[in-house]
Amino acid sequence: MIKNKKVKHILRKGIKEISHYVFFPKNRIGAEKIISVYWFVILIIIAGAVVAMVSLFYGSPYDVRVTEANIMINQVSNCLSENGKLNQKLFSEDKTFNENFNLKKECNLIFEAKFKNQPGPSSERDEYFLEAEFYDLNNSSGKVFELFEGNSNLKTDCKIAEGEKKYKRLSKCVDREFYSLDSENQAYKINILSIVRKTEKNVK
Amino acid sequence: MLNKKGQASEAMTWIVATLIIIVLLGISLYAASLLSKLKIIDYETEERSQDIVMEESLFSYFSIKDSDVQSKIFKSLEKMDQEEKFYGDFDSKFQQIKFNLEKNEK
Repeated sequence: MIKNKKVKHILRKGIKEISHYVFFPKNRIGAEKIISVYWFVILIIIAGAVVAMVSLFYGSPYDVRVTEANIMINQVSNCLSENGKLNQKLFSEDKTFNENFNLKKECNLIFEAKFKNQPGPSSERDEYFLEAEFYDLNNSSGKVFELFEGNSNLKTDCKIAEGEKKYKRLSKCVDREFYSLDSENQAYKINILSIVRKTEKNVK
Repeated sequence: MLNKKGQASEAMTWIVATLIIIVLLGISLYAASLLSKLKIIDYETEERSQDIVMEESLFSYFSIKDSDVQSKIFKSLEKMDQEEKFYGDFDSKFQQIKFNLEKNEK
């Protein structure tokens, strides 16, 4: 075994002896060991980073609340009005608006999702809110009828988050309006406000 | 002496390479975290051919007899279209419903 010491090379007779240190023969094995450890560490770092990247991306949920709110609006508008005519159940026998119209039942809405760790009655723990306001187009007196269902406390979130995209943890609000006619061809403008909270399931 | 310099430069190469790897991984991690924040399914930007709410308004527009109220509704619908409040193509839907209703009347 060659040791790390001065080695004399005799080149040719008569030429001065050249001496130098031989670094590699023994150290090459050590260097290879160090490099293999280095590669192992780099491999672990890269693997860890890939795992972190995948978990970061796939660990965060898709925010579908705006879509959900829009789907609820479609469902409600389809239930309140069909082919431009208001649902007959919205009116009582004396042609006035039916105060007993149950939006949740008539429009097949299920508000099962509830806040966790929130005291209070069931309606205050709902993750949804739906409101339909009816305006008579021939009468400028304003709102003539309204229907609502769900947690009305969520309406405050809409006012705070109005026009701001940074408040991701607040409820998502979608407001749309359409026109419809009653049986006597009287036109109404209907404003529907749909709010979905469900922050825990949609925002990390 | 020369070999020592060679060893030092070799070590520097590895250090620089390691730093580059770590920086690249850091950038990738940051990009992944940014992309994860953009996971929003936006109903408005998704291309769709149907807008139930807009269609309800158009049906009532074509059913109404009073021309004043009809023009009032049309102005309001046009305004909503300009404000991009509809998810479908207002003009094509308007023409489509008009054509279908006229066809049914004949």
